[in-house]
Amino acid sequence: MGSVIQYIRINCKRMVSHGLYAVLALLVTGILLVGLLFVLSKAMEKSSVLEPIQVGMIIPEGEATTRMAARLIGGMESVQSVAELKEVSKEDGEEALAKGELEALIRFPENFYEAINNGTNTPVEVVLRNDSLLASKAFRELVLDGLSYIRTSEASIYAVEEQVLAETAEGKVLSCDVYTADAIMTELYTQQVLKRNKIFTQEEYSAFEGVEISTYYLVAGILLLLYFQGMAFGFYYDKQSLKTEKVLRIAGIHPMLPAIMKTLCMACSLFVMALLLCGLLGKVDSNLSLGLAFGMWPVLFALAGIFHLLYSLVGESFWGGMVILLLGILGVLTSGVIYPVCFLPEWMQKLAGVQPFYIWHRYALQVLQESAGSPLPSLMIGLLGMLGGGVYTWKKA
Amino acid sequence: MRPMRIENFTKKYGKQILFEKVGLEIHPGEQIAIIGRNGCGKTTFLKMLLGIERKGSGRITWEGESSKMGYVPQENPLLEDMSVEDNLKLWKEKTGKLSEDFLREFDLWEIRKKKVGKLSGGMKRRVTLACAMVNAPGLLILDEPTAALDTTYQEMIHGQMAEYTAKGGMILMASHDRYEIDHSTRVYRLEDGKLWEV
Repeated sequence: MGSVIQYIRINCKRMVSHGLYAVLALLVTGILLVGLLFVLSKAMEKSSVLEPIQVGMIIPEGEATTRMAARLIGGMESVQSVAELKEVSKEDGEEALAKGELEALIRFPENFYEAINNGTNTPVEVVLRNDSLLASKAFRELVLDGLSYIRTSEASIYAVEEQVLAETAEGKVLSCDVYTADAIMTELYTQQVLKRNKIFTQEEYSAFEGVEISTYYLVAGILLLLYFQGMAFGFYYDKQSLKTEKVLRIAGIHPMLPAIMKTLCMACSLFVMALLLCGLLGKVDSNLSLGLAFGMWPVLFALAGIFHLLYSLVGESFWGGMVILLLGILGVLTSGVIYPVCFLPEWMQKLAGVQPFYIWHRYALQVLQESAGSPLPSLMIGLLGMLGGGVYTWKKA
Repeated sequence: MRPMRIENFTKKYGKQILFEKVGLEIHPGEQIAIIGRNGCGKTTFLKMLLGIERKGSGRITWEGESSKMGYVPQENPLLEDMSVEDNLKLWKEKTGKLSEDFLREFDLWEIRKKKVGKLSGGMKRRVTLACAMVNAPGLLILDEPTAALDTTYQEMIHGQMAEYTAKGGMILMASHDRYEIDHSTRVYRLEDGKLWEV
């Protein structure tokens, strides 16, 4: 029994003595990550990938109202972030498109604005270059999305008109006439269009799990930093430690005790680091607080279990750390932490749903909103990792 | 102290027999050496005795005594990032401080707070021996205790072993060292799966 107590005490002492190095590693990793992201964002800012594309508009002579509406749309911040709209003549526009000076050309038909008011569906032609840039493709996607939105709204207006006419024909009296209904719906539609992204908040749909984008990514950053801390726990699995544990069985240390101790010690270390990160980042984002670190305990235990399992399977501290690194990179890219799940292809969305990173990230965000789901999945992952690694090491020895 | 009897120890790896139905008896105050070529199974035999080698068979009879065994393995079993004192406490069955007398007996009092990683090979082996003897075992199992040590440390270890057997302790060791073999009460050879006294 004495040996067991001493083993627990010594492992806690090792955790504390290595804790300083782990915190330093955390800070260095954090600084490197922030630095890398900063350099990357600056480079991308200067590259042509994120510059607004040049789009020409061909507006027929005499179409003052169309011109005014086009300028209004072109002046919207959300449009300017993607494209710079400028009026060109037909010849100049087609020449510029061919030369690559323009990425797209919008050809408005005659009497465009009047046609809209009359309910005539007059198509607008948008011409894109064949070898268009990524930004052009994004522009195309946005145009198609907008078009779809317009058509849906248009269909709803026609549906209401049909119903109104039908009920009027039956002699029923409506509270408002067709034109009033049309005006109300147009006003509603315009409000929604002008608000653009805010519609998601009003409709209670959020790509960022109901939190602000900054909070979403800060929590993801905390999770990633904590995950990559796993590489700093390799000292528990160096060859000398493993030899000692094997021999310690003579002293009455059960083979599963190292697994339990290491997992709990790693979880405690991660908790301290989570407190540090939440405390620091809470000064940047008021949505973050120390409560997040406390609420994330099941996730921290799961992380510790995973680390123990991986190190045990690999059997060596250096390569165990490499496996953690590689799996971490794969997990991050495919779990929806970098790109929110709703933006991923459908097959990746299904894959992301079962990814530990996705589960943990979502759990952490729910903790922030005080609506944390069941901690059971994370606790199960931690327990399986801890016991799996312990049994494997025991049987291997 | 009562004698220990080891009977019918058998270890197989699949169809390959490492040793079969081997055994010996050790009496208090005796030092038994097991010799044999590398890979013949000496270390495996010792580990089976300690209970840390699985899938073997055999019987140990140690009449009337609690089975306290101390073990000095061939490799360094110490936690290098912990102090000498902490490593000793890890092996100590009962909690509590280590006695100064015990530490001085092994010349470890002055370096008790030092991290094991900073010690020489000979000092580490001394600490390992102290860990093996911290619970006053009736049997010491040593696996090449002085391999790769210089003569100073070899003499120190041999001195400790002699003191131990003089007090009635039993030593069972695997060794290639001429001195240790010559100073053993009995020598056994393990070869081709058989163990016999030479």
